[in-house]
Amino acid sequence: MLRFAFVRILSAIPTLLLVVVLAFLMVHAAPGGPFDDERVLPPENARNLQAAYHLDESLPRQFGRYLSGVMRGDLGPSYHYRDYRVSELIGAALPLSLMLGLLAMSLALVVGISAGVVAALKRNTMLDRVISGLAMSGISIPVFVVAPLLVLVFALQLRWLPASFSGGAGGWRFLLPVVALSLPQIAYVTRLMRASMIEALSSDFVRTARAQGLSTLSIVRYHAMKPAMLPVVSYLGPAIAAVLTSAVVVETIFGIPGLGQLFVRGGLNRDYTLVLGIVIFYAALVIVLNLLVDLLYGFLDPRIRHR
Amino acid sequence: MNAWFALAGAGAFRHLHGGAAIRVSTGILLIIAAAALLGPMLSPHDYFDTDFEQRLKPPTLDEGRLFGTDDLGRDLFVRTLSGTRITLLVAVVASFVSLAIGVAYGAIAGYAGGKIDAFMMRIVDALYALPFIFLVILLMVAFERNVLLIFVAIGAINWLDMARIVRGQTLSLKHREFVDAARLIGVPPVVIVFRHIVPNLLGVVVVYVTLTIPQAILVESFLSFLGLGVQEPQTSLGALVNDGVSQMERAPWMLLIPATLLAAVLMSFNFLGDGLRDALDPRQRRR
Amino acid sequence: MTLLEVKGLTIAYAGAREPAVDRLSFAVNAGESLGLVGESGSGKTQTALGILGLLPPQAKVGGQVLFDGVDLLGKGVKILNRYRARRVAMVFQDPQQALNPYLTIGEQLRRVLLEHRIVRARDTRQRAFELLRRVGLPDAERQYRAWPHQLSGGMRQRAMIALALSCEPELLIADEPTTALDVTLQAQVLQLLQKLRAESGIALMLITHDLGVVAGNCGRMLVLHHGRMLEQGLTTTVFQSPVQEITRAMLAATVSVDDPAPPAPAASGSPPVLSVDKLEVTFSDTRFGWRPQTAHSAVRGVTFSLGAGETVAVVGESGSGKTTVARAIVGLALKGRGTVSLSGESLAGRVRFRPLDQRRDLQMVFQDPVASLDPAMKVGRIIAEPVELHEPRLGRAEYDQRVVAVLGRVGLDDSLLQRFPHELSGGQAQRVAIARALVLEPKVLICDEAVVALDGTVRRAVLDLLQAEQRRSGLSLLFITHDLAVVRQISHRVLVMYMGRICEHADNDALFRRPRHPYTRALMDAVPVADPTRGPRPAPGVGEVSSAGIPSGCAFHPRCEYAQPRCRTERPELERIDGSDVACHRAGEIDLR
Repeated sequence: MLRFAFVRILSAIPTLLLVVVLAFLMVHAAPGGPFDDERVLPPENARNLQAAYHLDESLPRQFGRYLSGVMRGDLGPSYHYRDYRVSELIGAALPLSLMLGLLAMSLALVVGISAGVVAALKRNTMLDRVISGLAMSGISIPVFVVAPLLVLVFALQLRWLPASFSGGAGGWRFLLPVVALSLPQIAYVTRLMRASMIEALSSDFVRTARAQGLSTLSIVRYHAMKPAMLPVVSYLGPAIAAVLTSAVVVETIFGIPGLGQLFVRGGLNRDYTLVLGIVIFYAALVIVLNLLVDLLYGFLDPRIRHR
Repeated sequence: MNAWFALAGAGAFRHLHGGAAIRVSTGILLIIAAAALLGPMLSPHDYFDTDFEQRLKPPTLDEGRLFGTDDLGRDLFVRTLSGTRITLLVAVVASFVSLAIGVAYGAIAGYAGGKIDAFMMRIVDALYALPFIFLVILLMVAFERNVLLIFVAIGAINWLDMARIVRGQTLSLKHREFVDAARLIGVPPVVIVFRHIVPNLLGVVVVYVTLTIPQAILVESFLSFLGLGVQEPQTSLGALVNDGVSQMERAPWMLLIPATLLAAVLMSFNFLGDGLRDALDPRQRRR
Repeated sequence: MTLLEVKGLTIAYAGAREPAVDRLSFAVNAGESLGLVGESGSGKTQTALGILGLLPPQAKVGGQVLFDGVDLLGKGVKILNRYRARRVAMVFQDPQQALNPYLTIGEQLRRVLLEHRIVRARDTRQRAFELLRRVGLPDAERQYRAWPHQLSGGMRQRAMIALALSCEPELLIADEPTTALDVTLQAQVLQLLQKLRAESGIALMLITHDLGVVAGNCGRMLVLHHGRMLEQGLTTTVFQSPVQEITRAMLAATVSVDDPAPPAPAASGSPPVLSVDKLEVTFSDTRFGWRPQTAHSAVRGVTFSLGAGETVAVVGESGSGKTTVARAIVGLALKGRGTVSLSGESLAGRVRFRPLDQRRDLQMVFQDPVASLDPAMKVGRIIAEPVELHEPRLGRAEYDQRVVAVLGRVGLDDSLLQRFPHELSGGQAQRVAIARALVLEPKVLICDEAVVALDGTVRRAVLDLLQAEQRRSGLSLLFITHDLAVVRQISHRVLVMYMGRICEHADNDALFRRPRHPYTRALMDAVPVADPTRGPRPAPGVGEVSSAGIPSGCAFHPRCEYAQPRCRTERPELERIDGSDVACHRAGEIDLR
């Protein structure tokens, strides 16, 4: 198990490096400099600006400087918000996004796993058809359709909840964004859980457990739950990436000053260092979380653990 | 669709008992595709014609403005259908890009086996951990956007799954005894791959393509929604939804119509993929 | 006293032409041992599942299952759970599938004990240890903590039996409990079941396809065929005077080690067709890649030859390396050393480096008939493929003629030409695979467990077919099998393999009359004999192969009752004793007759 963990951690480093290189090159291959949009600057000022951001150095030197910064947790200065470092901007926006993401993932897991188990146990009944149908809709309606529809119905028509995040106060303002963010994930988890629970319940070892006179509850709890959870656990990695992506949309629609909105603004402002920094941050987050998911998987499956 | 009929003859599809899900979703997709191709020709309007007299008109039968107009007075019937056309085109082309890369990569890794396979799959593992969508956004921010770039970007995201699935299938087929038997008879390796392995692989690949298409649609719509996809005055379903969001208080039809169509397309593909997968499931094949 | 009475049990599935079980009635008395015999598809497993209410929901069930006078059929889970494990327990065929791979053995035992409140929570551990010891798992504390994948096949089946016994049931239903095990282990597990029956008076319902298992273990038997009962009665009576034609055919099809050996081919004095010299195959565990699908153990120096028209059988338990020998000869093994020559010509190690005409002379038939046919090809194409490849200049009509001719030789009708493999029965599929090999008119045909997947009567027919083909064309056969009865029927010479080496090499008659190696003796003792008058025999006193790698000295010494200190350190070489080659230090002094 230790060896397994060690190899996994070791293989995450080159991946992360690859992201940094790719993203850095992409930004630097972009046509047009970061200050092309500025009103025509005197050549003197332009040169100073270039020098201040080290844009006059060779590309390898710039990369070396950037990489050593990244290792110290410094993602460089923002081109647009000139008084701030990118790391500071990320740090300020992170807590809100983190909270949103965690709430959405927890909701998705709790609701999705329960709904999936119920559907599997009540397979081919009306209840199962309703759950499966809703789940199919859930994976087919993208978040940027769900979010505005929720706003349209609950904020604009029924006026129960605030339409935008800044327009409300207290915990309630989180409700619509979290629901919008988690609906597709609830749907995915439900479908996965239903399928894997049906698979587990039809396995030979569950038949053994039934032959031993174990009640349905015991069978699900002690025999079927663990194997059925494995596909859900391996979906956690992609789910985290999906939530980060959807958060960009949700934060834009609800006007939440989180990381996603910062990212979109950075894109619109051509704030390359900011976008680059956020991409690298996201990548690190996704890679680290995937690593944890892998280790969790290894913990759950004894056959992997003993390899 | 020609490819479909070619496949239908292959062994993989012998067991396809047409489930209702397959037939209904195929029907809906054919209708939508036909409408997207032919619809715009039937309308007197063009997707880029603006008419400031006719801004934000709700859907009506007059003048063929079935879906109403947008905030620039453009006809939404034509725009929605031509947007659907772009969306479908991007999705199908992107899926075939991922199909081509994924099948080639997966089949080579699987059939070669050993160290080559291990190395190739390590690369896939590493790429798998990358948050590709953000790199694509970066790409779109940094470069002039064009539709081709979107195809490539989406194809580049989706081929990983395809490669894994094809490799797994190839590996298990390669060790099956009928492949050993063919080797003993003296069938050359290339012929083994094309005569004995690929026909047995097609079923899974087709199912997976039907499930990849909705993913590609989602990515394209997502990029267009962020304003990073298809460029004005061209449009796609994602871009139309984005327009609709900004006007949803005044003109809800601008949101509801493209959103419904998008959901219908995605749901049909998902149902089709599910149906095909169930129909080809080896466990259902057993008596 | 009647414990279980089944009355008119009928199990049907929508879409199937006939019911899986059709109006079946029988009874099991307390403490007795009843054998339920039938070939695959006869409905024996369905019957067992039906009794415990474990059938899938789509099954339509009728009739009555009276346990102690109470009808269990159609009862809810709550009521059934009062009977399951507590009064009727079941042991399944494949312990690898039937035990939960995600829970330790102890946890699985504990759950059952707690569910039925057999002992207080704090006593469950002790109780579990007792159970594990009772089924012959001496190191109970270790097995308690073990995961199923850490146990060997025989230990897993013992753990499964411990699970079944946990609530002291009155009836134990064992569904092919030994089919997934090697012969020596089969004998031990059967002996364990008999011991438990003697100790606690538990009734046993033993489901099997193997008439030998019934003969040695069951007082009464009933024969199932296509879901119907053919006959039932005392085992001795049924064996001596079967009433039904089909039962008679089944009994006739049982190959026994007491049958006469086939006449040896006339010694022609010509050089051997195939000779294998110091063959070695090793497997390296690739670190990143996948393991090979079937784990064969290595081959460590095997030498033998095969004459024209001769049949040599290679026999051994799983892990003996017998399949690897076959694969290395045809060039499918990964890493091999030593030489393989065909008609005096040395062959390349890997099949892809061998010229076409060499490949043509050496063909193979595989274990799994269905997996050895391309599912996407029709039978006609499958058999025509080798001819088209080797004789590309022939015309369509000639191809068709050859295919039809070879199909006739393997006893198949040409109406099958347009069928896909999944539309064939197991026996038909194996005949097609044989036809594909024979259409090239090879000199040597290697059969790797080619009849293991087939039912008794079909197995007999396929063996007859191969022998007929040998008489017709002077084909040489190398027959890989674990089944000594098959060896007795088909082979002229026998190689007994253990952990990658030959431990005995003898003529068929010599081997069966007077085995020289203790391992050969153990294998023979373990074979169930289809003769109920002989009564149960003690299982051979050999333990199980440990997973700890190959022992030093004689690899068999940890399981051998004749082992001496020398056997632990010094590896015996093959030595000739009275015409047999034996690798045993004590072969000259001990008498194993």
